[in-house]
Amino acid sequence: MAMMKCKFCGENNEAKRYFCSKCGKVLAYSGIKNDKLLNRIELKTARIAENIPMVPHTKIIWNDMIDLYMSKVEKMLAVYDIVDFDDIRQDSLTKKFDAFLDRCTTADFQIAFVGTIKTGKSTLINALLGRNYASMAVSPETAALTKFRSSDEDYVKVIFYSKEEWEELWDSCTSSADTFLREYNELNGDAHRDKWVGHDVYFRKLHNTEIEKELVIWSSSKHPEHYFVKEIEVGISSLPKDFPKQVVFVDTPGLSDPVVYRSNITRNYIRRANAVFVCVDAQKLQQEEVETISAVFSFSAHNKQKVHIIATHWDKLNNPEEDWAEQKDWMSKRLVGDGFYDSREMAFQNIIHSAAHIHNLCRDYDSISNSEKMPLYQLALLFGILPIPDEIKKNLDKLQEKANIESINDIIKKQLIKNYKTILYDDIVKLYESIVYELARISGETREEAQKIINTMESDIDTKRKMVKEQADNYNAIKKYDDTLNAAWESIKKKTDKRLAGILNKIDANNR
Amino acid sequence: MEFLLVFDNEKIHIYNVENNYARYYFSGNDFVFYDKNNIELALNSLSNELSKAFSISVPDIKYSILGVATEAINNKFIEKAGTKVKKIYYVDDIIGTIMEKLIGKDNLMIDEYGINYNGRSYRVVDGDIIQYNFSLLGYTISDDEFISEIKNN
Repeated sequence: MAMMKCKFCGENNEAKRYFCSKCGKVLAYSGIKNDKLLNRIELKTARIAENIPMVPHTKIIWNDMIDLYMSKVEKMLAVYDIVDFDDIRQDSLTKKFDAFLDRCTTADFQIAFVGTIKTGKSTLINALLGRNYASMAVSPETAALTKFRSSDEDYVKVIFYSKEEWEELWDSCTSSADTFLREYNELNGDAHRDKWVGHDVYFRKLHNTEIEKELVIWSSSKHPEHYFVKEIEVGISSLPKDFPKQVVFVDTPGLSDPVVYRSNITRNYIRRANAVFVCVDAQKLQQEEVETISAVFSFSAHNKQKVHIIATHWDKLNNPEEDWAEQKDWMSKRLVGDGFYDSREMAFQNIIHSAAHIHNLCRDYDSISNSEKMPLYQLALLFGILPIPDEIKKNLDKLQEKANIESINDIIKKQLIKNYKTILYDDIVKLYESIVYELARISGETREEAQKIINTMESDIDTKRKMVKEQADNYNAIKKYDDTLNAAWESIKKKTDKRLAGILNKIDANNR
Repeated sequence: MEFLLVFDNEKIHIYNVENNYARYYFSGNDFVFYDKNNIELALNSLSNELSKAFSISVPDIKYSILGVATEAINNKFIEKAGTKVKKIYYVDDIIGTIMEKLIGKDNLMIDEYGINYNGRSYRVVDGDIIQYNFSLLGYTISDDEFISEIKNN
């Protein structure tokens, strides 16, 4: 074990101690000769030691061990926040601290539903919730992040952007946000903005049957209010009694939102989610869907098992069962390796087909119109069921089974909900370990830098001249390399421009 | 009878102004939790409890208010307490007075690192007192020191 001698009393102490065990003086700065500086450092260290027990603590009541981790991280964060450390703070670590505090204090088990436009996320959520709450209209409807959870009473809660958040959102509109801006102007968004931006949280208790209509007001892209909605939460009283209140389904608006601020909200939810269901169309896995899957994996690198691929619209395949077997086999091979699942077995287990629309039609059979029943008749034919009302009604269970929502429910109940406290705990512990690692790394780097500075200050003038010359030589070498690269780049650019001009001239000549 | 209510986002502490700002204890605790979504209920139960404890009528109870909660909650408290409010103390003003007395004292480093109170840090930036997260380098003042400053005002 490394030891350090106290320069005041000569006592030998473990090197990791800050104060001498015998006389109480600061140990770590024994090398500093300036008394005034040493006094100041001692004062600050003593102040930190006094204040550490008074760091505010948010009690975590759902788990004692997590409460202990929380207490430790709060103290680490208080040290990290010391104004003297402004220069060494890193964004990635700050985000980890935020994520940790959020996980511990909200303790929700979040299942995020992600996917490109019209992949049936909302239809799937409605199938899992047992009733149509989220809008499934033809045009893209889910424009606001919506959370669904079990509750004693039915309610809708709407959180609006603050003024600062709205300004940041507006500034983040990229050059491809033309559609967003055009629709915003068509709906006369500015006329509603001052009313809703910074508005208090809207909370309304209502009847279960009113939820769908209420949601349309706040989340439909046809209503101007939706622009100012940051988040919606829906409490549902009709979920099974054993559905834990901390489990939340999060219907996300989309990763490829041209308003970067909004897509970042989705990204943060994916990172934070304890499980992610990525909805892709079973009929075709196109580049945009692969990019979505890849993005989800990049935010879930520490826990790929949490990612499930739900292939929706399975009923629209020409031969659903045979075609799906082939498609799943192909997907299990394609989605393995760097940036995807770790193994083919994991991929195969986590790629599931579904036909949520069929499931919902079977569930609501008695209340839907004949024209709405058409997809059921089409599917029935494929499975040798006569497409007549009596036969369809007799075989609703069989058709619902084909829709495969029960398998997804099983994953949610048997893997996720049953183990959610363990999964939540493991997630938090992993985050804690990652924070400790990062802090140790930054602390090590800072100590090395500080040591270099001390060595430089303490070395003689000739060594200093040598170090300065070495640095100047390194700089010149890098500059020369940089100049060579720039020259090469300019040459390539000129040749490419010339070639492009030549091609464009030939096209012009052909067109005349 | 006048009481000083000091509340954050979760708890209310009560001091009996007429008894030299002595703390009031609720079943052994010097605070009571309240529901920030129902401040009116919290104030009504508090008034009833104090009325029984001190054998006074509810209308005779007056409050001085010191809010260390979010601005929205502070404002809600003031609104719901209504005509019962005798005086409102603002944390920034009290902190400002304390800073004036202590700033410049070398070992306290208040001009650099500010003052901590009730889990928050207060520093002077361009002449204004700004709130930050609790600072490990800040000079932490206790509830008693803070109340003592209110007493002397």
